[in-house]
Amino acid sequence: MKIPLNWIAAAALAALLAGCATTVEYGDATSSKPISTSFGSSDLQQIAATMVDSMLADEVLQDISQAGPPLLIVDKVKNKTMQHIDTESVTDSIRTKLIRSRKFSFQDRTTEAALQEELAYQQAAAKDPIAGGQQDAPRYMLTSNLSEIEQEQGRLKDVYYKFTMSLRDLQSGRLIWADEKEIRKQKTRSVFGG
Amino acid sequence: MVEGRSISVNLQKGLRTVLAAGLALAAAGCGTFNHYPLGMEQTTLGPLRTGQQTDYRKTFRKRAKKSNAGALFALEWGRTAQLAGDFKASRDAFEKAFAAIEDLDNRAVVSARGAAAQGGAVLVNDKTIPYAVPAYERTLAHHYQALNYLALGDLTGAGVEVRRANREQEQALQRREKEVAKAKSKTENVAPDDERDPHLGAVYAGLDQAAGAVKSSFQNAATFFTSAVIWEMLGELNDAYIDVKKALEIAPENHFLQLDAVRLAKRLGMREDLEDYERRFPRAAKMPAAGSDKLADKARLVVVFEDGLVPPRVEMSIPYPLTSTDSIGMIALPTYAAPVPPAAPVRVALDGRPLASTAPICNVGALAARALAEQMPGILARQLVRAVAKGAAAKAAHDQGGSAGQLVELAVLIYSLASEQADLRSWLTLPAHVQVFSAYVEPGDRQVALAGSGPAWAGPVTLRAGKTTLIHVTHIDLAVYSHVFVQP
Repeated sequence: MKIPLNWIAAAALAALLAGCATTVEYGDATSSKPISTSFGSSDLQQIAATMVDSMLADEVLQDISQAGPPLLIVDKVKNKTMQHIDTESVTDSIRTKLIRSRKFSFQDRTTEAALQEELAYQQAAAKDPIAGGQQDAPRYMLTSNLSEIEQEQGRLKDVYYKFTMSLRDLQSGRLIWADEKEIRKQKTRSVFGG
Repeated sequence: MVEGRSISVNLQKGLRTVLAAGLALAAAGCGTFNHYPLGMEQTTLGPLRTGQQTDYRKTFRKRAKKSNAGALFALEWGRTAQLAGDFKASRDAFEKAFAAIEDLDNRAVVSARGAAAQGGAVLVNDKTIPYAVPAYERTLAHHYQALNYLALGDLTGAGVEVRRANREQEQALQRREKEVAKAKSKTENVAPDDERDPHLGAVYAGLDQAAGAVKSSFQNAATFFTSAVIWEMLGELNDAYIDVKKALEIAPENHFLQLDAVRLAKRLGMREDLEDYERRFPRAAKMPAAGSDKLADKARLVVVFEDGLVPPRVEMSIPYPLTSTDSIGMIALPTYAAPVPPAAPVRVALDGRPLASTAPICNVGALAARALAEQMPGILARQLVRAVAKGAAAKAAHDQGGSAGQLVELAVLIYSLASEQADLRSWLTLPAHVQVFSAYVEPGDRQVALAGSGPAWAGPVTLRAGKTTLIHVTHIDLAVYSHVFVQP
């Protein structure tokens, strides 16, 4: 059988084009399109949402919120990766989602200095000042870790992120819930390119 | 391979060639940084030696963006800005360097840009190839970037850079192991270093002298030590211990590393390791455990003392037999001239009371020499292709005969000689030696003094119980640069 020359040319071109771009993809297929193996904003939103949903759906939440939404403190996410990630922003996302769920109540610890100042002012100048040491103590604490493992083999770079979240009862010291989510990204360096 | 005889020459063409050669010559001679060590000496190293201000932004800004050694210029920029105490500028410059390095690493295996540069390198010299940042420079870049984050009060950011520095060393080790395995599979029991070209004796002699006892081009105990200090600040004792162990493997005679290893092994209950340390380092065995009562109300004082500047590469022209043209060609190769003088410890005193002397932990000049020795086979291969191409062009012109031929031959000869230059680029603002000191002392506002052969350093230091204070001192000839990092 004789194969037309332009077929061969087309096939060769297709093969060449296929080798043209450095590709990055998730190990697991997801809907969002990654642009690099770095931990990006979409990863962040995805992880925060999944983890919070997982916790809110857990039975343990029914048990602890029987007497109304318990007071929760959300610790800053610990960055154990090789990238400079604004973990404060992840922490904010998690806290916001939890607040909106109305399953927990919160204290705002970021304005602590202003609060101290106001209480001191009240003590000095107000008629009926709020005495210190009367605030409710948080019963639960939510802590999270983000870690990264990177491996390179020839043209393939494999980056694995793991987000771990756990809920601790501060009264008993027990861990009452924990979950983890993994994101795996792979990047292949192209053979031909600019 | 260049087929010499296919070149046909007429007078007009000959003139054009002379013109082209002239242009190439002019291009090769332009710019302060044509001779990299000289350019650095004039713009940066000279002022650094005498403590004068350097205009690092003006020197490096454009070059870091456009030149084919962008990553290298960004590294010099980052280090110079850090010495000047401009930690934000230094952080941004190192970020530029990391971006440039990543861009080079991510290039396609066969890239158009890469091929063009390699082609240029064959015609002119190695300086037209983008500067490939060796592993020891990559590691040190993350090391200094960690200090920038520390100075800016971002301990988590410092942790990220420490992990990156570790990754660089890890990856370099894997690459090296693969190379050794590959060489072994080719010829039984032969390490890549043993495949040395016998004609390069003089070049390797310089490199071996400079490298001294250092066996690896990337294993850097100073970075592991600094990493461990930052890990301890972050409360990650296990990570700190792992890095102290790695540092101790590279520099087992360093007493401060021995003390750290014992202190952390006791705290983490590493019984087998501890027995080993007690046997090997009896002087360090009495060090109490980290976090124990004896150390709880003390402050940790750490001194990192950097001395001198890493030596620049020098060019060496050697005759080399070119089998393909059956002649002897001159090729220019980079090497190191003289070995770096040994590290000179400095005495550390607290409130006038002497504590101990610093101990050497890293000879950066030796790392640079070892790295160059590892790159040498590749450099030689490119130089030979070039020598053969240039030789063939000269021969073709000679064979042509006549006045036009002579003119072209002369042009080719001038061009060959002028363009034959070794690649002398390397990160030159790095120190020659790094030494360390560490002790647990009474907290308070104290006076620390360093005294050695060069200019002394003394300054007030805040020491807080349970916290670390890191004094980073860089001594370059007549100048001393310092910064005190207090654990947040």
